[in-house]
Amino acid sequence: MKPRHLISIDDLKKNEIEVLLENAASYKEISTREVKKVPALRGKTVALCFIEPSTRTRASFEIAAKRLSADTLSFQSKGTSLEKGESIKDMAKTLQAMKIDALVLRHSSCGVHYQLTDYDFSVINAGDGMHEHPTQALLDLFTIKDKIGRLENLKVAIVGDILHSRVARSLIKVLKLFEAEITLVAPPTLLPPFLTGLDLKITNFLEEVVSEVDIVYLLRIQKERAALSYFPSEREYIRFYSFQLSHLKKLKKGSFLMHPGPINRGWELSSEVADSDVSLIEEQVENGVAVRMAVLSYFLAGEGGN
Amino acid sequence: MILLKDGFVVDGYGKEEKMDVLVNEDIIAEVAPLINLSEAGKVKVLDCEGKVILPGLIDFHVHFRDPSPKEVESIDQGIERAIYGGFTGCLMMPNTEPPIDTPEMVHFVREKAASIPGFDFQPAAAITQGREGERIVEMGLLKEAGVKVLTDDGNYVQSAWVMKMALRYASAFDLILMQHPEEKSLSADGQVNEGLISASLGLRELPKAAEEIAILRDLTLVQYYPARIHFTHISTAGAVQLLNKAKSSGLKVTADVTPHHLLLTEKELVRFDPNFKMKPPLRTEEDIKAVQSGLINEVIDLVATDHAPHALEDKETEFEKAAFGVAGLDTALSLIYQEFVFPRKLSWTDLVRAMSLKPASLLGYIRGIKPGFPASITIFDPEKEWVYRKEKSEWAYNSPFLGWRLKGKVFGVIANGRLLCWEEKLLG
Repeated sequence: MKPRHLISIDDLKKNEIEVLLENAASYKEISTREVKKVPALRGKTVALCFIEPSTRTRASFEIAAKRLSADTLSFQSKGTSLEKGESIKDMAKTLQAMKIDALVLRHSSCGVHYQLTDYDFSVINAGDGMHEHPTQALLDLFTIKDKIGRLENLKVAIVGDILHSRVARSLIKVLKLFEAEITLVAPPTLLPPFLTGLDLKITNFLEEVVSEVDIVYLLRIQKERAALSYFPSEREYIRFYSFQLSHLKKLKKGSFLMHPGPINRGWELSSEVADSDVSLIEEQVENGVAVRMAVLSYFLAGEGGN
Repeated sequence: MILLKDGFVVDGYGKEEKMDVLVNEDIIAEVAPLINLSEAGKVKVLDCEGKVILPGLIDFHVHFRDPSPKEVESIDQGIERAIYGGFTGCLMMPNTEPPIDTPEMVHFVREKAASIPGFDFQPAAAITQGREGERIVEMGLLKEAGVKVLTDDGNYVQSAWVMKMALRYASAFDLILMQHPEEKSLSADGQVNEGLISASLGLRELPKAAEEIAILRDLTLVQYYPARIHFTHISTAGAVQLLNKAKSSGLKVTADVTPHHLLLTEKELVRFDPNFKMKPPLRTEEDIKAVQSGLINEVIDLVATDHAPHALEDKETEFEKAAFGVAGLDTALSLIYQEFVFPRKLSWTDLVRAMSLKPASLLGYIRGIKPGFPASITIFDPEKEWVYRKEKSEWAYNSPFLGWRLKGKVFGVIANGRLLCWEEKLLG
């Protein structure tokens, strides 16, 4: 049987996503047990390869694999054979020779995963450049369903650096599958130009949408990237795009705030807001493990096989 | 109340006829052929027989050297000179030292201008921080501080990527980006127009191509990244053609021309007089014909002076060391009247459009001699003949028009209801 891959949200059908979310709900329960382990992936080997720095996604995948009893091997950017000059193709051949079952890969090059689809292991995208981050979008969807109780007729505002965000690209796709009304909120310089025909609302001002939406999804300002040269200053970003206490008062009852983390307190949101009841940031992290357990078992234990 | 009696009123919207104009506080209360008032005591009646009453002029491009390490025309001195020249408002360029590129600097210069109430003073802010062409300014915060126009004037935003960022970002705040079109890699150390004059004088060249390439690049950018763009001090026939084409294709673009680029050619430079040195440089006969018809056909929207006062020592020096720029506030109206309105190349209404209504609309002001409109009015004496000479020690006279015999002179100015100049004299 040829392995299946999760590189983009496009790799999943809507009904498969619904199954994944249901499975994730039961996997979430496992993490509350005294013995947080089930034998679902016993005997399977999952390689976690993070060519780009990552703490929470790597930890989340590793915990998910271990709670499913898979054997994991983890290598990060420092000291990988890629850093020593090995090509991505040779790395794949090496991993294949070691008979791994899945490669969870974070890489700074968009779409590099598509060069790894002809081997005997599943490829799970843990973030590729500015392209996609499908498990993040799935855990966000799970969190929304968990807190709001539905996935239909959602109004979601995605705020911040849309241009450089793989999270936004996956999230938009997955929300579109459930026909959410999406508003992108960003300065024009942090939005790709020519976004026509995609049925997305666009505004340059956070104030205009806060009282309308069910979810305000704040993207991280990636200070380590070039993002800083796309807007004039920290204080101007905060004035127009930071979620402050004043916005909190305007938020509809039953609406929530999300952020893929790690947050920059005082930038994307004020500290008070981050710690408030409407913030789902901790839930997102907790649900991340459950959703990744669901993804790994779905793609490795044959549940998602062709 | 002020009653302007028996003047020839150009209302700015097509009417040109003899009318009385009644000003009540800061508003024009009435415009009628004959206004008689019962409470005569409370009304200051000003005789305007033989004078032309215009909507208050606005200069879209002036430099005041304030703040600056040098003592050359501070903001209040500059505003007084503008009023003396018939202006009721102006857009100040941000190339001060330090430059106007933050809301704090905007508040600082506004505070200085507040000493002359009534005058519509607008500071432009830079497009890039420090006018260095790299990172865009805080456009949102500047908009909230009341800024309407951004420009790195004196510098062209040389990087197309930065200009794209600026256009994209500015579009969210409906700000006008004003470009000084000069592709620096071509103009480098240039001094005068490239041609026979630069060849015979041995001075380094400022090619027309530098101006036209700069305009063409930005016209291309705004096609893909729509925003409001304004090109200042247009000087070449090719530039006029580019603008004409862009406007016919429906692009939202505006442009201005200075009186000196409308009237003078590079031939003036044969005596190496630094008072004829400015950017862009004086061009050729063909170019001034083209910019003149550009103004007449409304391809060029407005006349702005690019008033650029310089300390004497920065002009009375070797030509190549001399500063670029010429003074223009106190000659503009007389020159445009004498060279265009008097010989009937432009009507009074055309002049008012180019020097009052258009710049006003770009800056968010209202102009016109109509009831209910702000009482900002320029009163002009078309019969007065005078010679342009140094008059006031606090003003810089680095003008190419020194010694010119001029027809017509500013007689009075009312700015938002305040009588600031009368009988050619500044009041208060």
